[in-house]
Amino acid sequence: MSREIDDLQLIDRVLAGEQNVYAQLVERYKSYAFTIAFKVLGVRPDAEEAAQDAFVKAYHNLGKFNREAKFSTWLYRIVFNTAISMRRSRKMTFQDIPETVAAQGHDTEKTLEKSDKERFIQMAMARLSEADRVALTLFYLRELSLEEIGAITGMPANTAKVRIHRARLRLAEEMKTILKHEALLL
Amino acid sequence: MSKEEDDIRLLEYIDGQLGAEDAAQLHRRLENEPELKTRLRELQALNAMVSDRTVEQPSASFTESVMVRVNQYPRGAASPIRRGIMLLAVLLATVGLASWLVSIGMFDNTSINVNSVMFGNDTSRFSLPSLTFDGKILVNVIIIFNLVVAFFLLDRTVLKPWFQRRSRLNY
Repeated sequence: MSREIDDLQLIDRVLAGEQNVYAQLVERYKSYAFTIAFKVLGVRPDAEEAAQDAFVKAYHNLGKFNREAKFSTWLYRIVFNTAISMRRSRKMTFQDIPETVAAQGHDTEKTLEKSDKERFIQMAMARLSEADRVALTLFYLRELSLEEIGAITGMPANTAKVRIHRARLRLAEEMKTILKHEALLL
Repeated sequence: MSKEEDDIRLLEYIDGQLGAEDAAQLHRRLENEPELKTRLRELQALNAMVSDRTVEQPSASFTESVMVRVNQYPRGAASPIRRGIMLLAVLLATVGLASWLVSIGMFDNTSINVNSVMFGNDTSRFSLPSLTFDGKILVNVIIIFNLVVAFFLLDRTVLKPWFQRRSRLNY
């Protein structure tokens, strides 16, 4: 049985009044929902709050879910929009995101290398537009197809594809500039 | 072919999205164009650096927290907003009726003597200083009080739950 059919059966049971069945859908998608929120917000407590808000919103809108789409895509779109709204309401900038780097406090050379790498990526990402950053973030998760990224971000698949390609090239240029600058400082 | 078109083709090659014929053509160009080959290496390095398949895990109590919130506002439960609106409507209807009665002069020449109301005429030996209320003023005070209560109700039982509900439903 495919996961999509299984999702629809669970949704039907929730709509029929078996409220607690919704926990199964939460369990199934919480990791990616949280990951998307974390990629947008960069702070674990905020990401957790946004992902939970998104699941609650999805629950209350379950009756409006279009069964021709994948539940995961619909849910991730809600997660994405909730996280974006939260980031805007808290006026966070991409450079405010410290946790992915700061969370690795071990002094091993490997970790330092990794945190340097992540710092450079964050610096380069911060120089892109918000739409580009978000599209790239979803793309590099490697879980979602271009069509799904388009559906989540509200863009046609072709527009999403072009945006992602261009954003990757811009990111490459920014990375080159940053790495050249860092090399000069050494 | 422009530099951007070349770059996009290289990205498609890296992603494995290039058809066999296009890939073969690109291989031929890569053998003859060192600059293109260097660019491919750059983009491959970036791709390896940025690709992040790490799936983050939320807290252990994540599902439980969601379900607590879901159970707090079950689907199809009687809306507290509707109850608030009903209560508000009754209150406003009462205020409207009282205002109409005041406007037609129903309470114009009425007064209430607190002494006679509380103790009656037979208990005059305990009579207090005479306290008389103008009926019209009394009804107006009651109307104002009801309007304050109505405003409070509007805020607590209609507007606040409505905004909370809207934030739950909007996505």
